[in-house]
Amino acid sequence: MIDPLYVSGLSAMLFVMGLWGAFTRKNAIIVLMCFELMLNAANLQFAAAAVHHGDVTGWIYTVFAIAIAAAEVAIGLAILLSMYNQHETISLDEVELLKH
Amino acid sequence: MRLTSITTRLALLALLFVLLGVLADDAIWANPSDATLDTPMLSDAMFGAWSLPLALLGVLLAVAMIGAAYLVRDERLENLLWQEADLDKAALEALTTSNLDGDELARFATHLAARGLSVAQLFAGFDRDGSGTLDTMEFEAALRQAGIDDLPFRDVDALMRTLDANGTGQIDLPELHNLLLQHEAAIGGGEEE
Repeated sequence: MIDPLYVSGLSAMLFVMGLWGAFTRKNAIIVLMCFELMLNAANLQFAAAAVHHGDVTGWIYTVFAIAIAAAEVAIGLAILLSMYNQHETISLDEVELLKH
Repeated sequence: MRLTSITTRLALLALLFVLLGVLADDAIWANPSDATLDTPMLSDAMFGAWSLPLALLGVLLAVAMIGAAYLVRDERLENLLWQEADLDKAALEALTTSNLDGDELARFATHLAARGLSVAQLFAGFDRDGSGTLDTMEFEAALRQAGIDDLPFRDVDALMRTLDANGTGQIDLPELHNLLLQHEAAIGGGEEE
């Protein structure tokens, strides 16, 4: 079995990559994907900890995170669509207000 | 600006090392368990101790999805118009003024009258979500049932505006009833002539 330390390291790197993208990218879809990357990094950590400690709670938290990620994507894409219709762009540099 | 960018990147790099340091702590990974997790254990936990939180999560997820669907649905007309004619917002209002000659409403009313149902029964058949009103999609489906299936979206919207006497953007039962009354009056007038 893979050493959970390696899995933890991978999840930490994925999390920081996601955070990096969320801070530096201007395209709202890419920022949304970066949030997903962070959530999945957390999932990886939960899963690794669950297997290591033999506790199923980590898997349950993963289910929670997956459901929240699905809701986030649905709402996020709907907001992006609305944003595009209002401002004709999804560049976060140009869209500064949520209201038109 | 450049200083901010460099500082952010350095901070993120520092965060990575902090995270790796915390996660590599022996205290976290000491005492590994010999227990093997399997799917039945997960399902036991989900349907046992975690059933209520998961049910609440499901409800919240459903609400989020419904909200997102409605948000997208509200934008649909604008999107379709943009796709169809590549127009800017200023032209949207002009587009919704259609060149329909009125035959479509007469054909629709004739179809409804020929079905031999009460207005309430017809309305209930079209109102798929049971909201008490017909939105654009439901009205388009009703037109399609009547064999009027070749209308572009803007013409469907124009017909809706014609029927929508109170300007709510949706068709309610009295408005559909008015259409049939007008149809009956037109037929009666035609027969008298």
